[in-house]
Amino acid sequence: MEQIKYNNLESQKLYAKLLYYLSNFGLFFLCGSFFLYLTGVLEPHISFEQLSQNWGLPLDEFLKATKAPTGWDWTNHLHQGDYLSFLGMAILAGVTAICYFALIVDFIKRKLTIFLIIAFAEFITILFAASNLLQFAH
Amino acid sequence: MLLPLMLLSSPLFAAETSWNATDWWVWPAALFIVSFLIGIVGVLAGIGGGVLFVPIVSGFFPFHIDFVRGTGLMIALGGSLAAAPVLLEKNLASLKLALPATLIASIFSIIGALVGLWISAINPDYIQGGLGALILLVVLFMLRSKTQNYPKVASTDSLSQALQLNGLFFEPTHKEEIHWSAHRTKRGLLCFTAVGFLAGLFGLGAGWANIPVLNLIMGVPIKVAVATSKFSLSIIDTTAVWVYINKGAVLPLLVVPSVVGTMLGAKIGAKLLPQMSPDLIRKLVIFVMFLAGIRSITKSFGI
Repeated sequence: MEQIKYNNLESQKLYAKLLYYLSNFGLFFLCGSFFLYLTGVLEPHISFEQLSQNWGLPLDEFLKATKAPTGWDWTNHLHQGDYLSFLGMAILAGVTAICYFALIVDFIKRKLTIFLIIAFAEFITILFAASNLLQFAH
Repeated sequence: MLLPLMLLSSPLFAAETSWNATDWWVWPAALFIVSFLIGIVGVLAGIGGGVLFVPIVSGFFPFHIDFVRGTGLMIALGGSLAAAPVLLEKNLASLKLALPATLIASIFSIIGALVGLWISAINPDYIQGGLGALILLVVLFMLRSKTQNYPKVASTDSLSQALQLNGLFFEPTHKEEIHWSAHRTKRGLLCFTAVGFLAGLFGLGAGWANIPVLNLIMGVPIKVAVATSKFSLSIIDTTAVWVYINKGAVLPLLVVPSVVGTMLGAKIGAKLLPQMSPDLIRKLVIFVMFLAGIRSITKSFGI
């Protein structure tokens, strides 16, 4: 049996630190923006009454009834309470991509080729999912 | 946990109260309370919030299952992002182990999310029924599966060596450093295709599937399997969440009370943990999941 050299990746500490600060920022932003939405400081795109009348509808019908944006169109509505909160959710969903970018840079510095390939492939996968380029053929 | 929801969601209640749109706040408030309870119970039973949240909320709340699945993924993502830094810092979660597993699961979680939204557009009852069947399967799995603290790994395979699937962590109960390595790598990684697909399809965190794959198939110590699973959800669910965000299937009014509720509940649960009987809690959760699974199936038949 080959002698195994047990270790953990040094980059793990970098990832942990970055993840801690970014996810805390994301959660703080989400809660803050939700407060502005809930208290009516920022008017929502979809009123609470309209939302409650339509949240039981299938997605397609909901989007038609509320004229809710899809894809990245929500970025045009950041002055409205509900879509500022959407930004908070997008930040949380974007944290991993930023951490992976930092990992890629670190793996290049450390010349860890196999991990670099995997991290790069994951980074592209996340960007692909976020890009809205992927559509299921109906 | 379920009784007030059954009353709220019953046709009798709806008829009696003549539902008014101006009372919209009742449901997000109820969602916060239920998520808080799920957060407590989830920690005590050692499971993520999503696997309890999606069947309970889709079964007993008025929200369409598309929005519930999007919220379920956000809960799993939020919980995972909050826990992962500490788990990585303590070397309980392994980045080396998570890298290949999450890459495979992420790709399949995107496919699962797209397929789920597509099926749901045809008939959401297929998803609701499938979810119920899966939850009952998880219940069966929880009843039968036995984890191993330190599985024996006699020899590693070539893929495990190439990916350097090994590591070490300090075990405070034994006051010693534990060395571990993974085996049956191909089989384990293959399982992550199903894990990712189901996570995207049903909006479940999939920790219930990650842990046995890492522990029982790949031979990773249970503590590393649990921690790496929790960390992995922050990556796997990220890709699936983006699909739901792009399709407009996440609503802040559902997501924020749920995420905050489960996170607060998890903090309380962690404090209660030393005083509770894990066996009793586990049985309680299995019972609640069984009811939620049955409810999902009956709802898919319009009952």
